[in-house]
Amino acid sequence: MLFIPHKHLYISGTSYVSADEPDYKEVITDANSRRRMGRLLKMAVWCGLKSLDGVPSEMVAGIITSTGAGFMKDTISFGSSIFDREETLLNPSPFMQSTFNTASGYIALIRKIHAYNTTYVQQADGFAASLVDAAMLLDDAGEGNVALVGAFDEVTPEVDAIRQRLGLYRVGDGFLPLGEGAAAFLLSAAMPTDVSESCRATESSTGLGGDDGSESDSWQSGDEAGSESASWPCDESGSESASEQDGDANSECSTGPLRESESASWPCDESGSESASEHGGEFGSKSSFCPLHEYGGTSSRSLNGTKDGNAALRFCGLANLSDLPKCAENSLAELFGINAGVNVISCADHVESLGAFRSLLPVLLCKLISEQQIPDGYTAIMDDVNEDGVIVLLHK
Amino acid sequence: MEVYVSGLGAICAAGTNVAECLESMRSGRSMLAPVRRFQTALGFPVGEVCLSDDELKEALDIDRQEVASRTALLGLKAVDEALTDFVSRSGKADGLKELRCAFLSGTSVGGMDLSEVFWQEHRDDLTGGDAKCLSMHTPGDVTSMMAHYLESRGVNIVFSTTISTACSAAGNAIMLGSKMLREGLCDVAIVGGTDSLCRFTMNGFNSLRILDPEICRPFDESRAGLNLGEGAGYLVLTADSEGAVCRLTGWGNANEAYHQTASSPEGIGPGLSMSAALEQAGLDPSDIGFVNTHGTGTQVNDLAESNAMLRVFDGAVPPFSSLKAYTGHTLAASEGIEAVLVCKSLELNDLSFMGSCGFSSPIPETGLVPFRGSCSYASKPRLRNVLSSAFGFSGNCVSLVFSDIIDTQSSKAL
Repeated sequence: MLFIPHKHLYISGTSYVSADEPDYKEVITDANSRRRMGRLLKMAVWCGLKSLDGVPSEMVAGIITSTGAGFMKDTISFGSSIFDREETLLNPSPFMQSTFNTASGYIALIRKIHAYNTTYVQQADGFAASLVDAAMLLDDAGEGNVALVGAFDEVTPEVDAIRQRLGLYRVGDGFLPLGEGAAAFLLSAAMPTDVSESCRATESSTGLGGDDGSESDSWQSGDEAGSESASWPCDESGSESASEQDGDANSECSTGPLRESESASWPCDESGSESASEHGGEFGSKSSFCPLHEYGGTSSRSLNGTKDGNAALRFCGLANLSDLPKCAENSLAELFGINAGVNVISCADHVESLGAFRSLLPVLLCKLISEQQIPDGYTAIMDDVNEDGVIVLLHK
Repeated sequence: MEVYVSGLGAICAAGTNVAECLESMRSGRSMLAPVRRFQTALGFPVGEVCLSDDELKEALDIDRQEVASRTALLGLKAVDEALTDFVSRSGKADGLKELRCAFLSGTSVGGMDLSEVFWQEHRDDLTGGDAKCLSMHTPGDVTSMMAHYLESRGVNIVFSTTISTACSAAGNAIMLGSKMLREGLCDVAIVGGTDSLCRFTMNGFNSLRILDPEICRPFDESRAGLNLGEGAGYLVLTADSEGAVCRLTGWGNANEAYHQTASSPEGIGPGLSMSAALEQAGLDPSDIGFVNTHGTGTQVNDLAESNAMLRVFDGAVPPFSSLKAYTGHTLAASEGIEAVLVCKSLELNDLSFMGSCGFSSPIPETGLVPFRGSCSYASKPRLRNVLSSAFGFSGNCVSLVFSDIIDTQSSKAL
């Protein structure tokens, strides 16, 4: 489905967690809440609160989150306790937190936001529904209102082992590194200058996620700077990928990228779930799961709004990859009906640093915005990691 | 632009289709009983659908060998009925291919019923368990399976997604469908929700100590908790009035922002969503002829919802009831099933199947007495507008207003 919003809608207040976890207590100030919250919930709520920093609660038209699989750790924890404790005297906390809308609810609870609140759970596609919903919400909302759009997903060792067995994230003969993270941003029909002003003040006073002086250096350095190009990053480790893919090597963190040759045909028609049986024997023997701290070069800091006179970033529309006219030279421009070239950023190009996961696109989007990596003009961010992925068109 | 309800389908403990549900609910007898279909040490009464997975597959022409979550099967059974109803009402048998259809489904359980089967075997032996059982674990997987099934039957699905806002999910799916229709993003929206019973939710609600060991007694002084149920309810929403059942005129979503799982005693969130739905419909509280409540039978919900109604209706609460003693609390499916029944009551101008059961004395704080049904409403003034609500964990509240089809002649008569 092609969706183009009626109004000019701007993105601001991006927050994401994809590498080091931040110091949650700066943003989630209540110690009891922090203690009760699981790791993914903290990530998701941190992002939401960070994005809403400086925005009065009554200006929030809605809180919309999406997730592919939700709070897996809590789900598995409660599910296991049913067997372990033979259905008696179970701890209700993981059950309550296994509910998919826990993050959107917590953000509302902490900020006392009574507005529209919902959660989409549709693998990687929930983000598309969130954007459509947020745009429709802002059509009816008052002037200056914002909608919070967030996404989150986690990988646990159990999930990783099972995904391996199911053959998910298996591409050709190769493995994708799994990833996890959370992200949030604000969508608004108003130019985000006001929002960013207030947010920036809060940001510098809290100084989350690192030293204030480090922003331009540390988080644009390293492999990310090089991954702008369309080809697969990090060829240096590419030679190892063959053995990782086929054998039972116990690589704790097989971040090996796909081989160049596979990228051409991928991810079309790859139906991973069918390979469950052929993959059965390897269950538990190999992990492609990278916990957050394994990643370098990215940062959990957030940067709100436009910065230093940079043009505001506008959300222009979204479509599914399957909507894209094939083989046309400028098919993206054609799809969205614009008369300009479109710069393309592929999620697959960022799998090396972020891992592949259901909520990859929103996290990548927020990361790129925070790092000022969205070039001027039209940019399409393509979720080409997921089957029937989504294209988000932006304009700066 | 008006949004019309043009097809209905439901399955729950009260019946495997809409007609069966009406008939059994008219009798005023609760069908809730202990779990039969899966193993559990918990003996609480539940609202189980009487069809087995195999029987559902047979009804849907799905191969018995195919791995499919009961959540998807229940959902498809209701969607199938809703589409058949839509085709017969609208006469658009071939039109389904031409119409751009959005499929918006609420579920909270997803494929957990199958994941439990896997997990039990997997715990004893890490290489054990049929991993195919996990292929539908997430709510989105269930919706995708349902969407593929519908596509294979000739439905042109341009957009499908899953809403998982706990017990209010189907209500939010219905709300999203109306917005997408008005936005012109689709010609038809199949909206509602589905959830199956499983050990996970049984134990979850038991761990919260809100399951009543007896059949639930919504809005009764002696109420002691809820009974879980399973089922599905879907509506076909259109912009076209041809053959329509009723209209969807109001919707409101609000967050309680009070507690992760409990309602505020005064019912802040429920009051906000009810008022928002009335405002969207452009109606005064006095225009509402009947209220279908969430009415789970827990101490907290029923008091909160009563207080919200007293506030929204300024003390003059219209006839209201809870259907939970017939259906059990079907979680994400509840507002789907109940919306179907509300639409039916508007179409038939009949509330005989909408009565609360299990009530004997009102909640002392509010004194509100629910409508107990078992009489035909047809002789009373025409039922025009019905408010229906669902509230979930994390403070997610949703309210909908359904209205009758405006008949110019009868409005003149009034």
